[in-house]
Amino acid sequence: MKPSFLIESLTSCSGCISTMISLDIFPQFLDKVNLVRCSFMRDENNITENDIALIEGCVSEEKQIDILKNIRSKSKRVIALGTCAAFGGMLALSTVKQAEPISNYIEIDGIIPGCPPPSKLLGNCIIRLLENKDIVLPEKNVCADCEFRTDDIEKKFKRRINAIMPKNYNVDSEIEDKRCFLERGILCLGPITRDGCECKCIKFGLPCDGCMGPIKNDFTSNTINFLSTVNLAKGLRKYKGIFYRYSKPKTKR
Amino acid sequence: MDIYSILAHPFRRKILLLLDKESYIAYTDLMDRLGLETTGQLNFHLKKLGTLINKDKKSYFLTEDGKRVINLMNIDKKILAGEDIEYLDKVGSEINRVGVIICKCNTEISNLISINALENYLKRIPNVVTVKIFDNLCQEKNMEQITKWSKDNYLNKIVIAACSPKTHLHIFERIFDGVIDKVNIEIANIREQCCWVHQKEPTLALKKAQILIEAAVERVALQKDVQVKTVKIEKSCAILGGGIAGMTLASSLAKAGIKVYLIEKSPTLGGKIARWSKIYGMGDCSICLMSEMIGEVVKEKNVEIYTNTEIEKVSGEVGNFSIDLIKKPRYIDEKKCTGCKRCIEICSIEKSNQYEFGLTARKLIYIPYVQSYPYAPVIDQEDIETCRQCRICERACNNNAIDLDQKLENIRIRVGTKVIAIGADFYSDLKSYKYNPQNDIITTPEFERILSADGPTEGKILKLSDGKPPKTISIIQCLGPFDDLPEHCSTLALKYLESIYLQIPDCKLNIFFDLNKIRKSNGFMLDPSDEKFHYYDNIEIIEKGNKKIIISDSEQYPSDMIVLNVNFVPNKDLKELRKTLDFTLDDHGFMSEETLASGIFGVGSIKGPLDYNSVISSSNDIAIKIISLLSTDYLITEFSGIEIKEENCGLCGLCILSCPYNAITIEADKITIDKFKCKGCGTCVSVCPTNALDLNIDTTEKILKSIEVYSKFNLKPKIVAFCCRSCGYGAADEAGLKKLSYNPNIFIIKVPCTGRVDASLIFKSFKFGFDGVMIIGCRKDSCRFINSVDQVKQKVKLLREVLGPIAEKRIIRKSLSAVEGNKFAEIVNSFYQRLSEEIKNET
Amino acid sequence: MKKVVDVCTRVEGHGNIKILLQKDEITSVNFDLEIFRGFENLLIDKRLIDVPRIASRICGLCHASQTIASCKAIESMYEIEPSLQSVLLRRLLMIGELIKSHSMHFFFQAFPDLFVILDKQPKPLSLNELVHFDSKLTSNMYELIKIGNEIVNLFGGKSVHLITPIIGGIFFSPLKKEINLARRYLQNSINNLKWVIERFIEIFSQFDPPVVYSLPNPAYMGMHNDEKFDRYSGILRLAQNNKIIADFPVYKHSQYFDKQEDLHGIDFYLKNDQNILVGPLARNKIIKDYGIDELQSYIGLFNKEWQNSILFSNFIRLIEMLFFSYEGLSILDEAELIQKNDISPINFLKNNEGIGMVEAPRGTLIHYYHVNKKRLIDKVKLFVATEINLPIIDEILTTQSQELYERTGDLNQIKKQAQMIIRSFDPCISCATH
Repeated sequence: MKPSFLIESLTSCSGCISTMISLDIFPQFLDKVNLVRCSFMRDENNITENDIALIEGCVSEEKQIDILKNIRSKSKRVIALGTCAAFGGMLALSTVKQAEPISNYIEIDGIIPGCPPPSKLLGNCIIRLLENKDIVLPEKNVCADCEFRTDDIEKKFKRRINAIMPKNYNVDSEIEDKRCFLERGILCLGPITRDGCECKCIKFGLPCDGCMGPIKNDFTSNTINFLSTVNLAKGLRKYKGIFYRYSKPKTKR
Repeated sequence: MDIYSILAHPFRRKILLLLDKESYIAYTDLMDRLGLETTGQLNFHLKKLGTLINKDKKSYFLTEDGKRVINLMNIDKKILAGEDIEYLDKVGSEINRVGVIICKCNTEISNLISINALENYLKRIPNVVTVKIFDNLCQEKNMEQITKWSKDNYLNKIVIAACSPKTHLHIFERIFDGVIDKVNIEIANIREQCCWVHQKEPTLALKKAQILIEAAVERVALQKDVQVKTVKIEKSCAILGGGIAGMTLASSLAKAGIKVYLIEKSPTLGGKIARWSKIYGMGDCSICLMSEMIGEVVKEKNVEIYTNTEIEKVSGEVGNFSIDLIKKPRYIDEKKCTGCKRCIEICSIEKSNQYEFGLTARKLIYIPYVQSYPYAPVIDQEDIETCRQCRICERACNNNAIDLDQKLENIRIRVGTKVIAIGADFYSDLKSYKYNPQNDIITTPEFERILSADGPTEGKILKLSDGKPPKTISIIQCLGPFDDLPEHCSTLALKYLESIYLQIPDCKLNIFFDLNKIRKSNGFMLDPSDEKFHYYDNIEIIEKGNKKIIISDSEQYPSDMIVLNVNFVPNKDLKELRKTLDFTLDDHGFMSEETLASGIFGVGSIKGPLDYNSVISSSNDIAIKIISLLSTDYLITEFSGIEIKEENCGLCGLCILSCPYNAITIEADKITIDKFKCKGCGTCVSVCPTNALDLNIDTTEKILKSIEVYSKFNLKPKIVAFCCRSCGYGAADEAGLKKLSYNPNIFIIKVPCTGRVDASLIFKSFKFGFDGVMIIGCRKDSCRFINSVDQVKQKVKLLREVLGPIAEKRIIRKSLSAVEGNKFAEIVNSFYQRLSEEIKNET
Repeated sequence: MKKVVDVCTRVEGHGNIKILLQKDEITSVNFDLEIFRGFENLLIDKRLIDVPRIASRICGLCHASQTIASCKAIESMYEIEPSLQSVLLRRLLMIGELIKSHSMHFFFQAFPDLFVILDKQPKPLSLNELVHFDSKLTSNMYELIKIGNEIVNLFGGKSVHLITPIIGGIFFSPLKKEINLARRYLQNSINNLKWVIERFIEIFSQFDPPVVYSLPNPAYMGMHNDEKFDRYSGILRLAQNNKIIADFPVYKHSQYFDKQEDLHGIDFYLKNDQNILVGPLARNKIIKDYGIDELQSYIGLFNKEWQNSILFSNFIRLIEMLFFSYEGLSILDEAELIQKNDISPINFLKNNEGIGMVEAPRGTLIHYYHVNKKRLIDKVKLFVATEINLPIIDEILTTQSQELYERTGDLNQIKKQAQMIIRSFDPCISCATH
């Protein structure tokens, strides 16, 4: 008996699904599962009993809550696919729109973070799901894997952090500057971001922007804890572009 | 015996129940009844049952203990009914059996709230096994009763609903000593923080008490075992530095039966004082005093002396260090040498003598000074190549004591603690004072040598330039980088006055003081009317040929000899030593207060400028500390602080940045915490972005659970207050002790330090429906954990900036001292008022 | 008044078909996008440096175009020009993105419909049937998706929401190894595409497309660069019936179309009030030819009916993929591609507004930003292809549904037909609901 999968998009950019389709294992995936709902590829569109529901996108509309609850009641496991579903995503930067993680409304059995989830991680997670195992995510932060990491903590946090991006875009020197971004006074969210992306941005010479989401707590708390500890320039203190990137905490009122 | 792990397995429960029913069962019957096929499995379970069962010739039966356990299983209906079996299987020995004690505090508590209602509420909480009520728990007569009660119920965790932990926790801990681990005792403070402050509202007070106790039950249920660490103490001590401080300490410790390793970098003991002429206020010359002291140390069997030796590596921890030493070659076998000095006489190569501060020359093979110990010649390592080409001394020695091919020696010692006593250096940046011994502008150490009988002038005050006695001597006082340290140049100057007048009565003396320094250090002035003393704002030395003139605020003072009275500065070796030894420096660069944490002590002028008497007394102080530390056989540390999960740590270093004690370090791609330095403030936990760090008693899980339980209180607006355990919590207790009354809608969560509070706890509080968050910590200048209170300040500040006006009104952070109960009540009431209005405005 | 709503499947994102009936007569059929995410509001008060990254999240299929359009708009504010190397890399990224996007749409969304429309199957192939319909086609299409994905990954750092495109250029300099790899990918792509195109011709060219899918003579809009086909730089052209209505640079767009303050819908100021079509087909119509004979001869195999049908855009998509595979190969040969150039620093803001345009896979994409004195964005207009196409989709939906309803009175058939019409336009709902 093939396991049945349901793939649902809420408010999203479809990037996670498109990443999934372009996985190497996707053709085999299609063969091995019974896809009960995926409006991107299928016509039949009912929410039926299923083994695993992958949900991408954040909750921004009232009626999505009903869909979610319906899916929860019919799925053995519900997995949040991508940072939007797991934490709220980029839309959290909005001042008018809600962007909530699905876990605010239903219980979930795991997340596959990333914007979009890194192919390797996503592939491994899907294989584990096919084998009826739980998803295993890296439990360390990006620093763990970062080749620019310095263990000289005094040096690392000495400079005031005053830039979001490298100032001087000299392709050569910036890419070859192998110092930790924080040491260079550039805001890198690596410390508060989950590992698993192979530090791609950093390898390409740009600081981590936190798309893999937090490991514990919520994104905003972590950012506040992090930035209040380091030496942060005044100009960045009120800038919500940092604090609400990918997630916004829910307060009851 | 861990009753809970025995009960954890269904087979063992079944064996007990069968034995209870049928009294005696034979081994084979047991196998049949349990449906077991291998003996191994049954043997295992029988062994596990331990003293609960016994065996006569044929059959097994229950012991008295076993019967009590059956009793217990009957108490717990869930286990008996088999309902809980699955749960038991899963949780195993981690099963919680929480007993709650309610103390009426005579009538202080029971007058306001119904103890019955409280008891009934508590009995419905799943984790609670039994509830017991006392009139006054803190009385000694109850002790036996309590112990029996907790044993009978097989409790492993206790919640005491009574007064503040600050009042009686230690008594309770003593009651349960040996019965229940003290981390498993949780106190619900229903007196100071509930009944006494809500006298006017008994209904709400009851509700609040219920919730407070429930939260305590949930908290204690989450407590896991805390690891205890035992270190066998090595009864020995390494002392680095063979000067006056090191030797005084060494002889005290040795007399107390402690093995001492005295390690000196130079080839001789004695330090700086050995080269002084005499010590002020003591008639004796200092070299005489020193030689006596050296003699005293050398004769101690417990002292092992390593000269010419340096530390290479240190490992281990307080109580048990392992130190690797390197003994540099001396090129002379001390044991064979008789001290005849023939080798020195025959040596033909000279160089300037560093023990005379370069004032005289010496041979390549030399004895540092007359009273050196060990009294054997030495060749500096840097000269050995030259000597190997000559080897004349080798041939001259009758005893074959000279071995120019000696290798360095590696020595490993084990010690319980270590002491640094390497002293201080002298300020040496003297270019602007035209320092030049050849032109009679010298420093105090050089002048001391001139005064010494064994010095270059054999104790006569003569000019080094021409060997004639000086007619005028000027002393410029207190040269050095620090203005705010106590200095001893005045005593020195007085000593010199004495010596100079004894030798050259008609010598003219000028002593110059820097007014700026006196002003800054609030120092005193030596008799300003005395014409010897000059006070200046600016000073300059000019040289005209071999004449020296001091210009002090435009007045001119020609001088034959100028003595620069230089101050102590931190020993230049300190920085290098920090790489192997773990200690911190103060703002001036001296060693800061010694800490038990790293098992390291400092004595003498390594900690700042000290005179002779202070050095001796500080050595004695440290001796007492070390003797008491090494007096036990084991150092037992029940560590309450941070626990690390390496598998979650990405080495980002935020914890290191935030730790006020520098207790966290990264070593070989691993994060390590110095459990002795760590004071458990939890500031690192608040910044750790992964789950790598947590406090082991005040866990995050527990704090969140408290917030969750407290949110059951359903009156608005409700407030959660994070109080640091020393000041904030104390202030809240104080409000209770004064029986001030404030609004009951506030719930206090005790944190070790407000530095533990991070943004997520605040967000979670809001999420659970709290309307306001209060953070009450120590005053800034008296934070129990150095600067942790600042860190929460930063977080709240940033949080307010990010969240904007909403947070501005809903988060307050105050600093109180533990006696400001009235302020605490005031703050609560006004915050409550503000939030009420806020909520009204919103709706 | 009766309202019937049906979910539109096999499109990118969430869309509904809304049928309004009054007394047994269909008054209108709309393609309803229900959710609006409000990126135009979201960008307000943001710093320019953050904008490209946020803009990327508008769409997970044309993320590169969104980012590049955004960068171009901001570059016009700073008056900086990206280096030639950066431009080449941007073109490569857009090529990879186009191949992935077009092939995904063609295989999963358009292809099953074509069989039904051209009466080869009673109902669309299910996913399972589709995958096993023609194993060579399936593997070819998977490979094309993969190729697009890998090219973007090579030069963009990730395959979706890229790392390297930043304001001022592409923060990356490829190595020979990467260029050779990309070359191999593109050569494979050409082989695969030729096979798919020939297969397409083989299956479909002899059928006539149903009139339902004929276009009601809209005005076509697209970018051209000196009459040549170009998606990265050029000017806009409006054309109808092979006649040019207007050629204009994008900053003059407000003479022809603009967005109102409420940011819902785009208004065109054309004389005859005709609807506008953008996208692959429009791009094809506004230029004379692709400049590659092979492509023209493929197109020549289809008759006039085909060429006037929206269904033809499916074929044009294949042609575009082939065109860009060739173009990609020629870019990879450029010597400048590996010359390490600095990225122009962004120091002095010269203009307080800027506009950037590219042709995204699904049609013209324009980003317009305006900043206040604090250099924070205070006005945003995003012109997105699907949003421009919505009126013409609704027009065809309404007229064709009315006709079908009169004929059969069967709402189910209308729903089915409406879905296919919508899909043939390849709407990107993520983009449209920005």
